Amino acid sequence: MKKSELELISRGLDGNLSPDERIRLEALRARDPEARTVERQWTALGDSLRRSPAAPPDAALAWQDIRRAIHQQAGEDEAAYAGRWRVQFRWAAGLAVLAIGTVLGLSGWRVLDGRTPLWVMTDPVESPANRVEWVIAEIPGATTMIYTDTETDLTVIWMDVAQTVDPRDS
Amino acid sequence: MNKPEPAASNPPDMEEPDSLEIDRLIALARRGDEAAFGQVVQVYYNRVYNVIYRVVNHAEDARELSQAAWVKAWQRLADYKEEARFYTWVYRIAVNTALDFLRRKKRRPEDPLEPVVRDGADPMALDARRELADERTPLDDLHRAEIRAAFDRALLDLSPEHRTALVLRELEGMSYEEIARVMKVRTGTVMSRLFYARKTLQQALGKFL
Repeated sequence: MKKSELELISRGLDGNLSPDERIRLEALRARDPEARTVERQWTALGDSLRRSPAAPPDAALAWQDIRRAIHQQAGEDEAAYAGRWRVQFRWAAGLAVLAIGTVLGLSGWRVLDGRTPLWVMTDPVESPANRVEWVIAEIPGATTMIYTDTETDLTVIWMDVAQTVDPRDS
Repeated sequence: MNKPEPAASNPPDMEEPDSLEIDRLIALARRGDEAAFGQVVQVYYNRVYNVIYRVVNHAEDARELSQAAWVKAWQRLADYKEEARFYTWVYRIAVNTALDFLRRKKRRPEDPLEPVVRDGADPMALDARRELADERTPLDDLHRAEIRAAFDRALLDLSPEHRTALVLRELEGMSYEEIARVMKVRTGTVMSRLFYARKTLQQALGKFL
């Protein structure tokens, strides 16, 4: 038999034929005994499958098990969520401790090294880079210039005293 | 060519529950009403179990997989779209659960599928024994048991996808479109899987048919 004829029989068993195809199937059955045999055998296979269903557990009892499983799963999901949160919190706390430790450690090292600690440098008033001190050198006609003193880390501004006013006078 | 008429989708010998009542229960379940969900489970439990059993061919696995499928259904109720039929949606979850299980099992060759007809816990064997009790001669009993075993073996030799398509069609009476939705394939694929499954079973069981 041709594959197309077998497919026709298969779809016929599933009730999936157009009126034209049904007529073709009728004609096939009428002229080909093998087609009738195949159709009978395939019908028998379907019957066998339907005739031998499993004996399922009692649905009411099964629901009790399902209900327990749902609750258990919900508990596990909750625990897993809390667990994930705890892990994230531990990581965050660990990173914070590491950051604080790094700043304190570096600052301590700078203090021991005779330099300004990092935490002082971050203060806009206390930081040497921002501190302003006036030193009147009484050099008339001095050229205005700005530079960083390497020993003190201070920014030094030379100005002509005649052109400016000492803020301490006001 | 004229369009084929849709196949009957009601499973044979099974009473279709009142769909309005089911819809009401599902609406309640989606709002968290566990008791309503329990009623829905009890309406469909046997059908879902039978399909899974026929796909995995093991009673205890089928029981556990049915349970897992219903737990998933509860967790995913929010995803259920009411324009689809509820049982199609549940079958999709059940079939995927069973097929996933078989795929995992396939990756573990040391843990093969159970033999088809066994004594003891397998309800198929019990069912066979109940059926055999009505038989007249031991020879007939043996012959029937032999046919049953051969049928189960041949069914198990099909790929899970072919077996599932055949089970959904023959046991559940689903249309091609419904099977396609459950298995997430095209209707043409469903058609060819059914054809191939029948042809393979026929070849395997030729002497019994």
